[in-house]
Amino acid sequence: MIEAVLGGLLVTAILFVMAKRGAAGVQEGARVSYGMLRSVAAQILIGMALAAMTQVVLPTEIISRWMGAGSGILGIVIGMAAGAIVPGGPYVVLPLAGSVMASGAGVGAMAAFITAWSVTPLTRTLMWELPFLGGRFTAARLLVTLPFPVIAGLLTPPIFDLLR
Amino acid sequence: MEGTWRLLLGAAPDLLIGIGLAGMLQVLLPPDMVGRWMGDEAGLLGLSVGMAAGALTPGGPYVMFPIAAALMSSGAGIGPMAGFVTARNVVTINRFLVWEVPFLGAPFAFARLLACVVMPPIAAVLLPAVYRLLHGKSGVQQHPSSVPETDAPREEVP
Repeated sequence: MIEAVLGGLLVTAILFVMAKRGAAGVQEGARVSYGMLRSVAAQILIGMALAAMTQVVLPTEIISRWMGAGSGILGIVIGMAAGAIVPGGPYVVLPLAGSVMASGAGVGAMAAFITAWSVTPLTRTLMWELPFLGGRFTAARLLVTLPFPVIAGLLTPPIFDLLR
Repeated sequence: MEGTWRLLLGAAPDLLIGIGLAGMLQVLLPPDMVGRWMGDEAGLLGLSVGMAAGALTPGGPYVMFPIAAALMSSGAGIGPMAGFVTARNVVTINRFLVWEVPFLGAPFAFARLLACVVMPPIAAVLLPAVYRLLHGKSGVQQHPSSVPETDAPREEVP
C-alpha cells in the first residue's frame, strides 16, 4: 500500500522534472540519487546487520518483561531505555506497547517508551540518520532530544487523567 | 545474517523509491528557493516550513532521511532540519491514526500527542545553538553541493 503511494509520488516527481527541465533534468536527478546511494550503502548494510542482531539478542518478550517492572520515575527511565533499544517499526512496537499496557504498565512509562522509540532509537539513528545527515547534525539532534522521553513520561499522565 | 537479508530485502524497494524521490526533489527545488523557505535566515518561517514538511512526509525512515538529505544539501538550515526530523519522529499523523489510537486507545494516544506537540519547536530553536556549541561557528555546513550549481543558471530563460 505505502509502496504504491510512494511509487506514485516518485512518478509524479519524475513527470514534474520532465516538464520543468526535460530528460536532462531526470538524468541529473538520477545522478544525485545514485551518488546518495553510493555514499550511504555501506553504512546502511552495517546498520542492518546491527538491527538484525538486536532482534536476535533482544526479543520483544524481554522488553515487555522490563516494562512491567517499574513505576513512577523508575518506570519512566526503564521505558526510555527500552524504547531506545527496542528493534522494529510501528507494526512491531505499538502492538507490543498495547499488550504491555494492558498487563498494567504505567502511563508515564508507556509514554516514555513510545517517545524514546520515536526520537532516540538506537538502530534507526545509526542506520539512517547518521549516513544521510552526517555525524555533526545527528550528534546535536540526539543531545537536544535526549530529555524528550522523560518530558513525555512526566506530562502524559496528568493529561491522560484529564482526557479519560 | 539471515535477519540482515530479511531486513535488507524488506527495506530495499522503499529505500530505492526514497532515494529516487530525493534525487528528483533536489533537481526540482532550486537551492535559492530552499534557502529562502528553509535556510538559516528564513527564521520563524523556515522553522514552520520544516516542521510542516516533517509532519506530512509519508513513508518510513528510508524515505524521510533521503529527502532530509536532499533538502540539507540544497541549503536548508540546521533549525528547519531539526524541526523537520523531530516533527517526523514525534507527531507522525499517519502512525498516530493507524497504530497508536487502535493499539493504545484514544485517551492515551491523544495525551501523549499533546505532551509531545511542543517538542519539534523546542528542537528547532535549540538545535542550531547546540550545533554551534558542539562544532563551532565554522562547523555550520556550507552546502558544498549547492555551490557549483549556483554558478550555472538552473533554468534557461525562454
